This record gives sequence, C-alpha cells and structure tokens, in this order.
Amino acid sequence: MRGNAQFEDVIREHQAFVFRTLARLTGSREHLEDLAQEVFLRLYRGMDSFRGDAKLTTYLYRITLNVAQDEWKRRRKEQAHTSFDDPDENWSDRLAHTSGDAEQFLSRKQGMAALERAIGELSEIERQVIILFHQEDLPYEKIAEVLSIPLNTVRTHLHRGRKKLKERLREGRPACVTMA
Amino acid sequence: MRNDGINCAALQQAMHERRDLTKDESAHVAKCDACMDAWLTAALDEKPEVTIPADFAARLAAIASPQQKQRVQTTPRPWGLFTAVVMVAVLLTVWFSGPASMNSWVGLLFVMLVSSELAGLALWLGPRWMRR
Repeated sequence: MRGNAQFEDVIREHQAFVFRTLARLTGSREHLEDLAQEVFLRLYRGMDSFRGDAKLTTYLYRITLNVAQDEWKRRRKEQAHTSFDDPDENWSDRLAHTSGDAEQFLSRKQGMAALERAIGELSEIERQVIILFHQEDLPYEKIAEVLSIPLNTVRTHLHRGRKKLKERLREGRPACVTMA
Repeated sequence: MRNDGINCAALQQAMHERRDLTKDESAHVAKCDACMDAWLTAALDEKPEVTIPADFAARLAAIASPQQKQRVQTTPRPWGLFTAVVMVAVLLTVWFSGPASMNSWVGLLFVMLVSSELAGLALWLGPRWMRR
C-alpha cells in the first residue's frame, strides 16, 4: 500500500466493521474512536507483508479482535458492577432502538442490554465466533481462517455460545423483565 | 405453539422483521425454545449503531504517514548465520592445523562439533533457501 489516499480508502471501506465489532466485543461505546485508530495504525504498520485483498481483511479482523481483547481485559480490571437500577447509568451508550410506546421501548432496551451483558459473560473465543458469524455474516470457513481454528471448532463454539446466551438470558429474566 | 395462544411461526416472523413485541409475546419467547432461538438470532444479527466521525479516515491517514516515515528502516543482520560461519571456520582451522585428530579424544570432539555445526547450518539454511 502506498500513499495516504490508498490507506484512507481502506479505512473508509472497513471502518464500519471495525467500529461495530469493537462496540460489540467491548460492550461499550467508550473510546471507540481511539480503539479503531489503534486497529488501523496496527494495520498500517503491517501492510508491507500483504499480497492481496483476501489477506488484508483477514488480518484486519484479527487486529480488531486483538485490540478488543486488550481493551476487554483492561476494562475487566477496572469495571464496577453496573445495574439496571443505577440512576447514573447512561443508556444512550446502549444499542439504539426504533421507538414504540414507552413500555415496549424500555423492554426492548432491557432485552438488548441483557443480551450484551450475556455476550460479555461468554468466553473470548465464543464471543468472537458469535459476533463474526451473526453480526458480520462471515461463513464458517472465514471465521476459521481469522481465528486460526478448525472448522468444526467454529461450529462448536457457536453452538455453545448460543446455548450459554439463552441460559443467561433465561436466568436473568427477573432482572430484565421481558425479552422484547 | 404453546397453550398461551401465541403462534410461534408468526411471532418468529415478527422478530425477524424486528417488530416490537407485546408483553404476552415477550413472556412466550422466554418460555419457548424455538422462539427464544429466533429472538436470539434476530438480536445477534442486528448491527449495533455506531457513530463514525466524518473525517476519521482522513485524519487517520494523515497521522499514519508521518509515523511510518519516522520509523527507522533497518536491514536485519543475519547475526546467527554469521556467528555459525565464524565458529565453523575456527573449528576447521584448529582441526586441520592441530595434532592428528583421529588419535585423540580432543580431536574426535572437534570433529563432532564441526559436523554438528555443519548439520545445523544445513537445517537452518535449507528451508530458507527453499522458500525463496
């Protein structure tokens, strides 16, 4: 890759994926721009070793997952318990939602927030597989290539991750009220 | 369909279309495995909304270029190979210029050392040359 313009094109092409994945993997909107910047700077420093677009996206996925992992570990050390009843909790950081009436709006928000919390309780590999499969629509083969794991292992982690999510969501029903 | 009067197929379609659910439908989802699966899939497939500054790419591209230029470009020196070659040369010199090697354990030790050095070099350099 040569020149600012080409790198800028690469950023524009992939920035949405990077921001989305970082948001889901870290469970927060804090410092997203800084994290995304770190992802692309790491990509830029490693650009000389690429030989084609296929490897670029694979490497970008890996960098994004690594940056999210580092951030996740950092936050786990600092994180205090958050509560739905916490008056200081900023719900604008949660997933946006097209509004219905107030009760349904709150229920859906709680359901999605409960899902994000449940995703945070998965193992790192399960979280990565689920996000790459569902959110980014990557096929099993691509996920296996990105994570450097066998194809069947991808399927196993996906199955286990979904199972755990359902269990967590059901366990958390009294807290999240409804699953809308 | 469970006994609560909720049609699972219709409900799953509604979730796929991201229609808001009623309280009864929400309660049904929590109890029905198939509908919970559908809810989970729809929720996971939903891409989170994020705000990307309009000038993010331009700013980052401007930052990246000077950073790259400031990096010191070095050609890695093959110190390992260089050291191995020097050691082999020293051993061979001592071997040929020293006393009759096959009549002493010292000489035999030198022969073994030289042989293992040459074998190590071959193992190290061989794959590298093949990759070129």
